[in-house]
Amino acid sequence: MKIKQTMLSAALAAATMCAAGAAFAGPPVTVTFKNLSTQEATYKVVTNNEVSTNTNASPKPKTTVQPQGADTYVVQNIISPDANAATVRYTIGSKTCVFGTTFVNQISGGALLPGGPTKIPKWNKTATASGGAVCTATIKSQNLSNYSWTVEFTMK
Amino acid sequence: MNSINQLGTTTPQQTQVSERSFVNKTGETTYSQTSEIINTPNSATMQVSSLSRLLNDAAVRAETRDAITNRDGLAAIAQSTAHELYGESYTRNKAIHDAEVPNSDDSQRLAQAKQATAFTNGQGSNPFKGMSRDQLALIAYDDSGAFTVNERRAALSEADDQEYQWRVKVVAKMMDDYNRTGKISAETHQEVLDHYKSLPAIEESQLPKGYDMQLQGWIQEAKSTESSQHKDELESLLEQLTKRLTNNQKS
Repeated sequence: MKIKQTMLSAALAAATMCAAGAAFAGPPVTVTFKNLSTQEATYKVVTNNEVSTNTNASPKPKTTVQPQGADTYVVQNIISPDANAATVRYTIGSKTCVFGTTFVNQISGGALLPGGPTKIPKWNKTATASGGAVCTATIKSQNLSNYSWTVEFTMK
Repeated sequence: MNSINQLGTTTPQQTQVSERSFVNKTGETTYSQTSEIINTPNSATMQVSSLSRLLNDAAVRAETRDAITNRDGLAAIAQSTAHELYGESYTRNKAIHDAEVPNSDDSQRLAQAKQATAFTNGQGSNPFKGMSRDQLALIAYDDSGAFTVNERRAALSEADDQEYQWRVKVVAKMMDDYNRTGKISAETHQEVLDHYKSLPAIEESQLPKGYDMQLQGWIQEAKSTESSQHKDELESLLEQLTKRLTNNQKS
């Protein structure tokens, strides 16, 4: 868990440094959460990354997702145009899923190389299960022009 | 509202009562209007559907609850209701819930409860499909026993479905804004705020405190960006026109 939190923070921090001073929003991610179980899933906010995700989400994630139901929202950070991340946590009884997704427009190469430094967009997703939960995270689409993306998280 | 009419043989008069009788954000006024309608000299002949009557009673209970419960309290009620209707205890007591019959000999009322049970078992349609969010909340969060557990679950399920459908639309609009302009428009943020404000108090209580203020901030920010973009576009157009005019004058 800590490793993943650090990874997310590092990704954001790295991208923030790349675009120091930029007061632009990063590419938005559309999150869809699907509750594949026969009981309600509860959305919880625990870590700093989860607080930040909730702050940057619109509409706000529903606190309860009905059995076989779904929720969808957009998360967009205002720190950097070159990064965005979302971390959300859902529980069903004693089962927990922590989902994450990140985007970083990483600088590759250097000024000495022909053409100078270039940026390589990278999207990532994670799903961490505990208590017997089955969690999946899938990046469903990526926009290569503006780097927005959609991700689907499922839980049962 | 349509689904009330689908339930039985309601007359246009009944529809009028239904449409004006349920508590929403301006609850007190609408309910008193209902009372006036029902108490008119012609009311003796008016056939008010059993669901309308139940909803009116539930509206009074909801109004009382909302008046004496703060936001956190309403959020706690909402949370425990969701757990009661969707959680482990519901599954454990499924047989009891499926066997529950309303305390009524009204055939329309009994048919509605039966349909709700069938729906919760994956058979047939939701008896409350298409009802307003206010009406659905009246049923789902009413723990007086006036509605069966399966009716309340069906109502909450319909409310959740409607919420999800709205979310899918507004998220698509946000992404359309972003793909066209690189930003989410003030209009779309406003739509989210309007939706938030339109929710019954018990549903609004489940959203984070200060969300409305945050949305107001986003709207203002988007508006100022949009107006500065317009200004830049106008300045650029004016510049081009001036150049063209100057060139024309030279030639």
